[in-house]
Amino acid sequence: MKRRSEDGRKGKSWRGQKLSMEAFPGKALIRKIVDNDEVLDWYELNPQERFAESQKLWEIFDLFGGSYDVQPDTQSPFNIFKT
Amino acid sequence: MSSPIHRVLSTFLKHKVRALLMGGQACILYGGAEFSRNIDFAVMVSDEGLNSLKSALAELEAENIFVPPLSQEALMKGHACHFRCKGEGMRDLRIDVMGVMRAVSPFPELWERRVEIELPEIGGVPVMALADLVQAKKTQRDKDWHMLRQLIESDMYKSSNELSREKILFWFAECRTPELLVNLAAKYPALAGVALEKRPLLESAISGNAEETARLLKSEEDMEKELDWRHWQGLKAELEKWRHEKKHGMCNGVI
Repeated sequence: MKRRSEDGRKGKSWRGQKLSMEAFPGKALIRKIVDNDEVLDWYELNPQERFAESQKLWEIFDLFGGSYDVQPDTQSPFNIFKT
Repeated sequence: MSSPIHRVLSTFLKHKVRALLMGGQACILYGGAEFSRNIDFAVMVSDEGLNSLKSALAELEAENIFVPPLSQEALMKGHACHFRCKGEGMRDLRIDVMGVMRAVSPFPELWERRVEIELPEIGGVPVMALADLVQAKKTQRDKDWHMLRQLIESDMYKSSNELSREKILFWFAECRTPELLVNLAAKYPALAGVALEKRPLLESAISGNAEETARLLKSEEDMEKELDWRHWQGLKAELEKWRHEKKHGMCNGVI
């Protein structure tokens, strides 16, 4: 049975018992650990918003003449191709 | 004009390619903060699957680059096939496809667990489920481990107050942030005990020792990197062989 959640994803429902997260200070703790407003703002977005933002980055990337070559990564097994 | 990523996703949907978005573009959707210059897919390795893939690649004027050429045999061995989109406005965008990945479930299972994400002007894009994407990201590259941490943090950050047992066990299994594991263990001690059977490092989280948990997380990461490195040794030898053959005209690298 597929579902569409509030953030636009469709997928299988989680089965089983629902547990309360009230006392788990995950969000506050993540704010403290990450300590980077841009990253936290990114976490707040839904997938559609993130996709839209990433598309804007492509426009800026193009504007400044960025290369679409994948960056060299010496740790990648594909580095032997020297892209 | 739509971006090359937009075009690739639309074209794959149009040709009904049995493919799951993974890699950096999927990480972006799940909350990873990354700018990825290529697009990666896990694909169904079958006659029908590769025929639809080839149709989509032809429309994108995608040329097979490097080695190996696209084939069921290469994909089933665990190789990636690489393409560059030569179509107008595609800016040589690279598409990478894989059929089999180390420690990742077979494609039919991945497909069953897929998440469809509705993207404006594109449609429902089949994306590898977060739990599977996490497995696929356990590579020898440092940057993938940074991404893994972000993916779980983002998942926790966005989660509602009502959580399933499965979700909490998933976090116990995959969270890479020591302080979060310690807090999670304090909140859900019974589930921490269950998760401990598969992830011994949780013992330090249960005892509230974030420093020791961090040390053990690094050991866990190093072990997975080593396994991935070993996995690729045989494949790299084969790639070198194919590259040599291609250089001497013994292998056609263009679809």
